[in-house]
Amino acid sequence: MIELHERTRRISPSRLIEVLRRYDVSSVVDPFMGLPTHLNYLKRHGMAVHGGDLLDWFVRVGEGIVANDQTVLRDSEVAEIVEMLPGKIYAIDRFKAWEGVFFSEEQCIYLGVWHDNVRGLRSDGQTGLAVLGLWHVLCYWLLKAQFPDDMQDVPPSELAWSYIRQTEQWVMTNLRHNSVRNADVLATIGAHSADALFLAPPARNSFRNADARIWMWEAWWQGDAYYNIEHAYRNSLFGARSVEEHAYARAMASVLSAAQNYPLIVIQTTEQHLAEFEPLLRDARTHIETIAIHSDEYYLVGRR
Amino acid sequence: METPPSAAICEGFGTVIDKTAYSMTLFQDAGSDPRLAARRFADLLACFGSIGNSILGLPLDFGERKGAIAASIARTAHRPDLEINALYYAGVLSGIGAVGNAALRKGTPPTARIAAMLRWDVPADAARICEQIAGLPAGTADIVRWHMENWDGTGYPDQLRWHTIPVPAQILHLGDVAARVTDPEDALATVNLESGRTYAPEMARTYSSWFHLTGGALDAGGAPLDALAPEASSAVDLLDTMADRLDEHNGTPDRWRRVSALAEGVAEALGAGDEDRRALAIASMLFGIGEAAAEEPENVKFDPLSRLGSAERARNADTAARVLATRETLHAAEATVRSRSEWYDGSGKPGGLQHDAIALSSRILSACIAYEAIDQAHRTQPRPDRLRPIERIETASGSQFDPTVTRALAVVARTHA
Repeated sequence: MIELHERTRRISPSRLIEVLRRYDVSSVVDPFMGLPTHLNYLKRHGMAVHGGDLLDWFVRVGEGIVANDQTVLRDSEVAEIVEMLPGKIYAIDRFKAWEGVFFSEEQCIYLGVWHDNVRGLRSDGQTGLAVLGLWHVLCYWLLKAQFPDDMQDVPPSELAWSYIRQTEQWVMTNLRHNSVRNADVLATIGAHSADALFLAPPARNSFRNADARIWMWEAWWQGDAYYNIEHAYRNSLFGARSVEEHAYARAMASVLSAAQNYPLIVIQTTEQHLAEFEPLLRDARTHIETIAIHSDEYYLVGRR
Repeated sequence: METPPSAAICEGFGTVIDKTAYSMTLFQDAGSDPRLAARRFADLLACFGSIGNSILGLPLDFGERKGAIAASIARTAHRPDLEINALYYAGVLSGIGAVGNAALRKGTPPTARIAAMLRWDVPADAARICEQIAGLPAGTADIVRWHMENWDGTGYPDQLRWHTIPVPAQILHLGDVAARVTDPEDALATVNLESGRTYAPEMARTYSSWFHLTGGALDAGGAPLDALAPEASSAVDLLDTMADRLDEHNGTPDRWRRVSALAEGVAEALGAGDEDRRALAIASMLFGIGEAAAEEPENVKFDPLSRLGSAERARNADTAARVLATRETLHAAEATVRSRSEWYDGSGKPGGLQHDAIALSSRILSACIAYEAIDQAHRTQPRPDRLRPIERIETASGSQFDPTVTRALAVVARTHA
C-alpha cells in the first residue's frame, strides 16, 4: 500500500484575493501553479490569470478550468470516456505494472481505457476536464486502499462519470484572456506581463518527495507506468540545481530578478521559511510588507 | 467641523449622533458585568446567523444547532476546548455570508449557473465578517471559511483537499449535514456514503463514534459565553455591521442610517420615553430583516402608501419580528417591528390595531420608513408634477399614519432637508 503524505501546501485563493485586492491587482501570473484550482477561483472573481508548470497534467487541467471559457463535456461525451468503446483497440496492459501494487486488475484496465479515450478527445478544454475528473478517481482508489472498510465500493465507470460531470461547474468566462503553459518558471514569467507575480515556491527537493497522487497521475497522462517525474524537473531551475541550499537561494533570486517588470510580487510562505525568502525579496524590491495569517500562511509582498 | 468616523455613526440628513450616547440608546449599560456583555454579544451573533439562515431558506436556529452538533462531535473527538468553543460560534455564524451575497441580494438575478458560483462565496464572505468581529474565539473565521470544503477537493470556496482542510472545519461540515436532517441517523448514512469524497474517512469514523456514543443528542449547555471576549463597543459595532449588510443586501444602502436619524428626531420631538427610543433605535436598524429573504424590497413592489402592499409589509414585519423575538437582547424591538405595518385607522395588518393600541415606536417607525422610501425615490427620479415627499406623507395622515407623528416628521424632515 502506498503512503499518502500530508505535505500538500494549502493555497487559499479566497485569502489570496484579499491580499491581491489590497494592491488593486487585476491580473496575476503564477509560474509554480500546480493543480490550478486557485487560478480558477481568481478567474471566477474577474482576474486575468496565467499559470505555468512543468508537470503536463497540471497544464492539461489548466486548459480545462483556467483557459477554457465555455467547453464542457456532455453526458454522451462523458459516457464515451468512462467505458470501453466497442470496436476500439485499447492498450489495456499499459498500467499493468501497477497491478497488485497500487491497484486491482480491473482498475488498471480502466486506467488504460481512460488514458486512450481521453487522449482521443479533440478539445483541450474537454481533455483538461476529463483529466481532472479522472484524477479524483485515482485519489479515491488510493485512499480506499487505505480505508477499505470506510469507503463505498463504487463501480469505476460510475465514479469516473460523477467526477467528470462535476468538472462542468468550474467552467466559466471572465471575459479576460487566461492561459496556462507547460514551461519552467523563468519562461512563464517572461511570457506575460501582469499586475502581480504570485509565487508559492516548491520546497527544496520537493519533487523527490512528491505526493503519489501527483506523480502517478503524470505517469498516467504520459501513458507510462514507469514514468519518473524527475524527467520533468531534471533540467529545470528548481530541479537538479537546487539540491543544495545555496543553489535553491540562487534559483529564487533569479526568479525575483526576472520579475522586475511586475509591479508586485507576492510570495506565499510559512513562518518557518520566512527568513529564507525575505532577504531575497528585499534585494529585489524597495518596499516589503509581511502579511501574517498563521504560522503556516505568510504573504511577503514586494513593491517597487 | 470634520467628524472622525469612529465618533459619528450616523450622518443621515446631516444628523450626527455621538457613539456613546447612541450605545446607551440601544442597550441598557452592561456596567462591569462581563457575563451580561457576553450574553448580549452572543444574542447578536445568533441574530446575525438567523438572518443569514433565513436568506438561505434554513430554519432560524439552524446555525446554533449546527454549532452545537459540531461542538459535541469535537468533544467526542477530544479536541481542545478553544477549538470546541470556536466551532460553536463558527456554526452560528456560518451563514452570515449570505447577507449581501451577490447571488442572493436584491437586484437583477444572475443566471442559475452564475448564481451557483456566487453562492460558493458565502463561507469566505462570512469569514471576512467574522474577522472583523472583535471578541470571537480564535480560529472562528477560518473554520467558517473552510467548513464547506470537501475532502476530495470538490468543495468551496477554495477547493482545498485532503489535510489542507483544517480538522475543525471538517468537523463543522459534519455539523452542517447533521443539522439539515431531523434524524441524526440519516446524516450517518450520508456521511458513510460520502466517506472519502465529501468527508475524510477518519471524519466519517468520528461522526459514527459520536452518533453511537450520544445517539445524536445534544448537551443543553447553550452558547459558551465564557469563550467570548466582547469589548465595550462590540455589540454596537456588530449591530452596525448587521444593519449595513442588510441594507446592502436589500439594495437600500445606508437606509437604516437615514431612518434612524429621522426616527430619533421624531421621538425626541414627541418626548418618547427611553424604552420607546431604545426599541425604535434597534427596530430602525433591523426592520429590513423581513425583506432580506423576500424576492424584492417592499417599496420596489408597492408604493409605500399603497394599501395593496400592506400584506407584503406585514409579512416582512412578521419575519423580522420572529427573528428578534428569539433574542433576549433584541426582544424590546419585536413589537415595534411587528406593528410597523399597522395603519393608524385600524385598517392595517397584521392585527388591525388602531390609534394608541399601536406602540408609539411603531407609529414613528412606519412613517419614517415610508418617508425615507418616498424621499429616496424623489431624489433619484424627481417629478416636479408630483407632491413633495412630506406632502405625500401628509396625505396619509390620520389613515395610515398618526397625525402627531406626521406633524413631527414634517418638522424633522424640513430641518434635515
